[in-house]
Amino acid sequence: MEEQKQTSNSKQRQVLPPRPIVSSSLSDAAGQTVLDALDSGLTIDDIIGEDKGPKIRPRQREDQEALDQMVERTGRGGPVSGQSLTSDPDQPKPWETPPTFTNPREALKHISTLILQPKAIEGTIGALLNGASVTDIATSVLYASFTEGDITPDMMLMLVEPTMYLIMNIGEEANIQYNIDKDDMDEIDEEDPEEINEKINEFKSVFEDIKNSDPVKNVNKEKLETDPNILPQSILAKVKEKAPEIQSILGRQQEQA
Amino acid sequence: MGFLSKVFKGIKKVVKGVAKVIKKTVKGVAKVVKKVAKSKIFKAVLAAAAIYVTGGAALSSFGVTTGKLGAWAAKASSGVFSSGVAGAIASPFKVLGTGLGKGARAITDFTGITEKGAQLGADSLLAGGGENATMIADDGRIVDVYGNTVKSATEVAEAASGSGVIFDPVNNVYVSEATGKAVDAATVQGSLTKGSGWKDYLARGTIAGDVVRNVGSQVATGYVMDKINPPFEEGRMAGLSLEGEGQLGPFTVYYGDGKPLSIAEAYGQLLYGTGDPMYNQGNTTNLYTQDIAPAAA
Repeated sequence: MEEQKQTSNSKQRQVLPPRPIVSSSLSDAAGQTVLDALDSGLTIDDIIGEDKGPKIRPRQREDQEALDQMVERTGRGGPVSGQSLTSDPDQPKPWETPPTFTNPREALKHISTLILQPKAIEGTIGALLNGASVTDIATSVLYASFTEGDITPDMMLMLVEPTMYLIMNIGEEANIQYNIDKDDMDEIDEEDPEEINEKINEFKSVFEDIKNSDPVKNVNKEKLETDPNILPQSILAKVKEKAPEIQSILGRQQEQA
Repeated sequence: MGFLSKVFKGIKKVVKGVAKVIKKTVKGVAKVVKKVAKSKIFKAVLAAAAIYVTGGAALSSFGVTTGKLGAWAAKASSGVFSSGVAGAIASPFKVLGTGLGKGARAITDFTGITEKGAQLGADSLLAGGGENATMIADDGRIVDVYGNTVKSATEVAEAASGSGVIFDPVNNVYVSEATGKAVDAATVQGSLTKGSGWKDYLARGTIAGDVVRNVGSQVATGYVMDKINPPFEEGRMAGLSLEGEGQLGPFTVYYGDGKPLSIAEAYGQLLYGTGDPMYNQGNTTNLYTQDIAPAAA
């Protein structure tokens, strides 16, 4: 018996190979992969590996110097209309020349190599710890790549999702409770009001169903008493014997002496 | 608004959209996988995404290998990727390619025979009409679609003695002694006494046999049909089907959900998933850099 049990358990734990998934959205592909992995026999703990304990919460640090710098830059104003037409056509800006990477996979490889440099990882972790959001970091990395003439604006938009995932993975590996967009670091763990409403409505409908149905109506009392397969006679006899002693909790209670 | 400002505003908008999509994905998975903390699901989604973004290169940096997902994905790359998905993508072309090449070479041996056979009244010199892809070569051998000798002419002659089938060296066909008509390879084989050395090539149930039957014989049949029938205007693809809308339309590849994705789109955008052929092959660049064959002016 023990052996049989063990065999059936090992059969249940047999991990199936992944099924093919293709999507133009990384989130979609990742979501489907997780569901597929769970369907295949892995558990969520198998997927995420060891627990690293409580996460480090970022601290918003005020940096007067950085604020001054930002005010100074925004105070300069934008370019005058048509200003770009006055620049020398023989010395175009990097983004006005053909991009270095026309192949999105090569571009992604380039960006990920840049981000995964030890120095860059250090900087990314520092920024996440200071409360910078993943969207801001991804924007600056990609926008810089565009202004340096590495990628086109279209390519930049294509690389947003994988770059964000790359940064989030760094944050996750550093065990930081980072912001994805603005101050939303706790949003993932928070209960969604919509979901709560859904659950309440579900409960209400089930409760209404129970309330409106009359399950006692369908019980054949005669059959219940005579059919030994439903209720063994020995138990029925015991119930009948004890019946006078059983009191309903809603019934009149005996007064205590 | 200047060009750079427009670009910057564009990326800000997209980035916000992506952030929403990520959260939505976690919610979507959480709806299916109940009673699991969303933070855990989020971490699992990140781990899965890391596989696709880095192509497995930086998995150890992201701790994916510490979980069992890495091993599972690795199993995919050696299992599904090579023999399943990539196999399904690459192998048929590979089989088709070699099948076409060798098959075509073998078929050229029969071109004359086929015409002669048709003239001599044989229904089809391709044995079994696709059921058994063996053919008769110029020299009287029975060969498979790859041109491999199934039975040499001498062996056939020896085994055929008294079987009612004789080789006609003038027309290079086997003819029935009773009817005087050319017979196909299956009839020849059927009439032979199978000795201990007889080898059943392309047996049913074997992968090679099924592939050859389905690919090789269809190619051969189409080729032969083209040879027998007079040339026609609309064109006919060897063994496949008449040119229709499906064949004339742009070549299409499909997403996992069955939605069509044109080749132009596939070249212009990134795809992710265990079914992404480039990811499976581990070759992430050649798709976009391969040479394009020059079209005749």
